[in-house]
Amino acid sequence: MRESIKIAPLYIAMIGVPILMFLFLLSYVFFPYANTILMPLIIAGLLVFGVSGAREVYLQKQKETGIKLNGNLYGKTVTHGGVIKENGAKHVTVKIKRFNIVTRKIEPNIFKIGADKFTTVLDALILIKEKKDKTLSMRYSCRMGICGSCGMVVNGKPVLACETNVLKNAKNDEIEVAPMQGNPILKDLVDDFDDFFEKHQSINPYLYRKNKNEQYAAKEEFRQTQEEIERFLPYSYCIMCGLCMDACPIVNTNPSFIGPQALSQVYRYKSDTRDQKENRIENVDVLEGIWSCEFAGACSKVCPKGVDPATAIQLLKSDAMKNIIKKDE
Amino acid sequence: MDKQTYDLRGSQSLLSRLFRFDTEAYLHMIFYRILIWFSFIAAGIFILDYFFKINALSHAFFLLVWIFFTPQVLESAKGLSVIGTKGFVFGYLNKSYLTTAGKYEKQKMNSFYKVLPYIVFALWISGFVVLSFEWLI
Repeated sequence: MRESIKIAPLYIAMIGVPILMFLFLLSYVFFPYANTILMPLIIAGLLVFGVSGAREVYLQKQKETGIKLNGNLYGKTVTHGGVIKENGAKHVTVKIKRFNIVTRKIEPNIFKIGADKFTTVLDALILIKEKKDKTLSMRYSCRMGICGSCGMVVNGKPVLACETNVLKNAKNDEIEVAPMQGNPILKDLVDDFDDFFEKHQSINPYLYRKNKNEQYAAKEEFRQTQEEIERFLPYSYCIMCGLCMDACPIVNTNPSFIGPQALSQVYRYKSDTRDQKENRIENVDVLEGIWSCEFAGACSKVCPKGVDPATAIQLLKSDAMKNIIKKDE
Repeated sequence: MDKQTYDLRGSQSLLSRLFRFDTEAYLHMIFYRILIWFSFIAAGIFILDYFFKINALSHAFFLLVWIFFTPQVLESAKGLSVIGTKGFVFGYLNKSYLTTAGKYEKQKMNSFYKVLPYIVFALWISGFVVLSFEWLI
């Protein structure tokens, strides 16, 4: 419908401009001094004609589809009441399991919204916050799967809300949203990432050079071959969304486990030829490091960026074993 | 004001969360947890068998341990494949990376590692069948 409304003035302009030009020329032939009066009148007439034409198209489409455009959600046609027909849109029940800070329990709240084929879970949550419950708390930023802020559990699976389609994931027109449990919960759908970042920080997630001049005032670039880059490249895609930590059954059952995110970053820096830190593997070669991993593989399955922490941890285990064999020799 | 958080972590019941999005991992974890406790009982039965010759019971327990150990064997073989191919087989590496890195990383053993877990699994199951026929039937 929005397309039609955009197109209507175009048709009017296509017809109107030649008429305008014709009248303009005609006015010079017959009324050479009167065109200063005639021109504003012609323009005003065309404007009135254009606006009324667009309104006609709008009313006609509204009659045909039953859609009101007042419930427009970020450029997508969604209604909050009337009949929904466009873009396969329909009503969906959103069950939000919120952590109530007063009762200190996770309580389900149910909202009914209109969603079309483009609506993401994040769109739905923003809509609920704007129109239905202003107290709803969630964390989000970029809305395009880059910042990793909107990690939450949708229908039991840890996902980025901005990358999860409502209609594709709705079962019987119902979708369940809950906070991640791999980190402590602050409020509603918001997790506290202090522990997550502490663990990340504990592995020294930066390139280390023995020469301090190289570390802080390098005068030339550290060149790498394509093969050397390929060794660590996928592990550098981590956006620290915390989905792997939430999916990991070991993190869920044993909070002292350093977790797949931090361990994948150990492998990322350890595999980088520019890094000169020697004891990266030794630091995680402990029970609460790599050896707590039972290779369930859930962390890799939920990673939105294809970091594959499970593979990184198994490779770290292999390297740790090789180190032990080397020492024995 | 101090930040008040609510930590749900620490309970073994949270393993059930896996069931909704990764059944394979769920079975792997559950079987392993059962195996931990079951192996204590089985060890007791094997010791008793040494003194009192309760063959049928010890054989039945041995086969149950075999069943509970099955997901661990399969996952271990997969882990070996993952290590051997650096995640190219049975891994979940970034798809665009796999496309580009595949040009540089031509591993001859990839096809072997692809079938390795299934060979191990088939051998493991056939071992179970042979022992079952030998002891119980």
